Amino acid sequence: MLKEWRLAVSFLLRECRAGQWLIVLFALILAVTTITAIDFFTDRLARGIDQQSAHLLGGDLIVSSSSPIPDSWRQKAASLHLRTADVLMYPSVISANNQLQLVNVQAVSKEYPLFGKKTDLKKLNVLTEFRLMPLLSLHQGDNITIGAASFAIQGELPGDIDMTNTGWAIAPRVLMRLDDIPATQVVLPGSRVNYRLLTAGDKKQVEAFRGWVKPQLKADQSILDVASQRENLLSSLQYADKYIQLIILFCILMCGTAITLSVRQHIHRHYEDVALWRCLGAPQKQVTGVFFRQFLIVAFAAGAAGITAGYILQLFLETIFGFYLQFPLPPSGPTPIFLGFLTSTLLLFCYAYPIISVLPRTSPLFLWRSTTSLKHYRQNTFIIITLVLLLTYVYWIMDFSLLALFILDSLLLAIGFLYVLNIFSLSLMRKLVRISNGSIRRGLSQFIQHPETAGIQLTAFTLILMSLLILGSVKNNLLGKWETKLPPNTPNYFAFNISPYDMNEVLQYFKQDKITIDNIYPMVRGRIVSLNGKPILQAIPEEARRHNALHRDLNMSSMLNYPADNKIVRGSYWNEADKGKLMVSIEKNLASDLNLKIGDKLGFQIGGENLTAVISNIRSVDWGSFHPNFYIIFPPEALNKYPETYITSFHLSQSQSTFLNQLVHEFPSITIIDIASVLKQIQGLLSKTASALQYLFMVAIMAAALIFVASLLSSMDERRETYRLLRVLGASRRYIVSSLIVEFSFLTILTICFSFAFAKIISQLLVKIIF
Amino acid sequence: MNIKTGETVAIVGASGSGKTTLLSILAGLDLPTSGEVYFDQQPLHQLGEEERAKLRAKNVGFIFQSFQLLPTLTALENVMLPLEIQYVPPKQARTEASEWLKRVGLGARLHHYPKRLSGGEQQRVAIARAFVNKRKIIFSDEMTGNLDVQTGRLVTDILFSLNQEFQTTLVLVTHDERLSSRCEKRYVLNEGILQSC
Repeated sequence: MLKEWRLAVSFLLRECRAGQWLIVLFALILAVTTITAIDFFTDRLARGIDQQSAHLLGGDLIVSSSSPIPDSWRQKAASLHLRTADVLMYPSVISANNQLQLVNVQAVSKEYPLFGKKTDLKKLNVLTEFRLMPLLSLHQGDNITIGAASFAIQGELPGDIDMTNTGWAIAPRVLMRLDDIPATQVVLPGSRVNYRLLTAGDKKQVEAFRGWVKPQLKADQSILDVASQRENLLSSLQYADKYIQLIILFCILMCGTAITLSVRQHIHRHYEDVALWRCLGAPQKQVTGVFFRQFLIVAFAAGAAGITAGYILQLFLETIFGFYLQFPLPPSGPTPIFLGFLTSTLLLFCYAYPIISVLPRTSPLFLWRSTTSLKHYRQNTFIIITLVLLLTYVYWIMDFSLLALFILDSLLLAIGFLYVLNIFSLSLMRKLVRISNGSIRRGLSQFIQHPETAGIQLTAFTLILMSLLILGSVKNNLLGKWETKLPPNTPNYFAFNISPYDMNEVLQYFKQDKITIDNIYPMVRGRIVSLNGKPILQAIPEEARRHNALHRDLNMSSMLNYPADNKIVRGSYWNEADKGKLMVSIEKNLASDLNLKIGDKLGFQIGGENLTAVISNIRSVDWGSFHPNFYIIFPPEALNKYPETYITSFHLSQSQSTFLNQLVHEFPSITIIDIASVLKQIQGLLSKTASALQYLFMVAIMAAALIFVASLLSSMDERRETYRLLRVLGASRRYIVSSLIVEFSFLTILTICFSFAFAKIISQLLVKIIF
Repeated sequence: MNIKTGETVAIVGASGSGKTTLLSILAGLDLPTSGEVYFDQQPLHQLGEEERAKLRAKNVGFIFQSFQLLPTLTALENVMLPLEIQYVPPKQARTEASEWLKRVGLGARLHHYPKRLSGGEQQRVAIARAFVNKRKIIFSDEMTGNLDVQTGRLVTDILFSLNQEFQTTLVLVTHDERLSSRCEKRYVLNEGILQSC
């Protein structure tokens, strides 16, 4: 056993010395680096959330509600010897130094926090997240205004205090005392406020409390635990996640292409070697054993090097995203290491299988006849097995996502088309050869004489250029989507929580300052609870049950004319006669996700009361328009009996910024959201993500370029032989160079045409279907 | 055709007469469509490819017209190859291979790659490789075909002197009259008929 390994190692070292495994090794390292870097980072992120779940949540079990928590729940928790604290959370705008900033206000009872050191927060004092101070040029002791009250900054929030929502927060947090809330005059009936009861204590007692409270939860109430935290994080990383998947897939593709090209050359160069071994008496089994062991060694070496490089790269990612991460990342687990070795082994065996399947069967007579008489049926079985294995692996790496399915299908189709196009190109060249002469004829003949090499190179070059184009196009689309949709007068502020009593005055206020508002819409918060008389979770398909819209309060509105960017796709518009009727208009994607149809009876719970309405139309909504939009719209007057607030959006130029201060001062209950700064911060996060991924991709591009050069050089073996003969026959250097130029020009033109065409189609479909 | 231990046999004939095919059948590389071949009383024509490979590994050496040295290996490593295939420990393989290279006059060129050796030197490496395992029988296919007359003679001298020393059986396929005349037995292959002369 050991002697076989020794033989494999000594042969491998000699081949490496001659530079024969370098391309394969480099391609494998690159694929492993990309995959493990991303996996290390996401693994650490997930572990960070798991490990700090209690701290992140602020308790072992949290009850979240959009209405105040009943006292009896607190008493029950106390009777189970659980520690409890109350938190009230809502988004608000604070003002300081004539500047406004959107913040997440967290008002806490004196028992808060349940873990770690008490905050010792004084009356009308706040603790702010470290990011807030430089944003508003604030220092400790300065005053900020929240609603109608002024607060002194007592200090910074300790870094290890709970995050209460997700690991990725856009707006900075401000912590204040719960008993200071009335002074702000911000919280009104119907306001978008989240009440939380934090509990902590013995695990059994926590579970007992969970068992007791769960059956009592209403539609607007939920229990938060580690699982829900994870979901939050994943949904906020959704786009980045898909982009990462795309990069991984293309990296595997590029590295695989490089390995395939290199393997081809490897096989051609090794026929004679293997024939000689066989001639000298090496049995087929021994040759297979040597190659198999060499594969394992190469896979292990590439795995180890790639994992190390991946670890270093993820440290770089950590520094890029450090600003947005609110907790230190713990060390990674063993999963990425396992994944790294699996990737290198599987990629090598799948892409390089011909070395094991073809080479050992080389006849010793190859030394005399230079032909192989290999039986192809076994190789075909091998191709099918490896292809299935590889596709399953890629599909698994990409979490069995729609994106993976789409890309894999597209690539298989593209390869199929390329095969057909290649046949057409060759037949076209055959015709061109007949009517051409000189170096053009020679250059074109090179394709016809080596159709297999030409076909493989054309396919490989096209796929790689296509991948780069798709990735670039999706990235630009992702980042540009938001920016291009914003004309100069696009609303950059949202005002909500406008009470019905203040509405006319607020409108007057806008009119006075000649600020055009988009429109003002009533807003009621409620949940979908039933469909055609059945509880909603039972009435819809299983895969739709985890839909976010079913597990939170939705903002619903009532109006006759929908916002301008809404279009009816099924059903009809309402008219005056429909006022007050229990009908409902549903956003298109929500309807399709929940499998809702026109005529379905949808049940809602609004402020503790139930309401059933018939779906009368389905609308498409442009969520990127920055105008107020709603999943669910009722006809006017249908929601009159429920507490409602109003929402609007408007555009303010920089010179009009004092208007906001006056508005907030005059109407303290109004919440203003500065969309421009939120958008800017989201774009910042996305662009950082994109640039991080771009760095990853740049590495891949450089590698691809290097691999291409190497592959081109490898195909030069055949060309060199032909041109050497031509030289002997008297061809001039100029003739040979111009023939090469003709050959590569054709290859380049075909590659560019095919890759641009495929990239255009696939990226447009990708953006339309996936992103 | 009967070849005894230690004999030197030449097979001559026109191009395309089937000399190389005959050699590959005798060496157990190929199977005859009809007829029988025995090596040490073992019926080669009845053995499978793997059994014939085992037999070659122990008993058969080859010298080719185009040398067939692996370009990525040094002269020493090329000679070590047959030993390594038989799992001879590396140290022993290295010592044996370097001794054989010294015997063929290449003691100073152990670590040279084939492309840095002349045609004659490459063929001497091939001779060392053929003898290294103390093979019973060595098949040579046009071994002087790629060499000039003087070098060819030098290489032939080495081959025959080693043959004398180790009593190896030599089967040579050649066009070279001078080379065939040095063999104890000569056969001519003409239109599929093998005749002793």
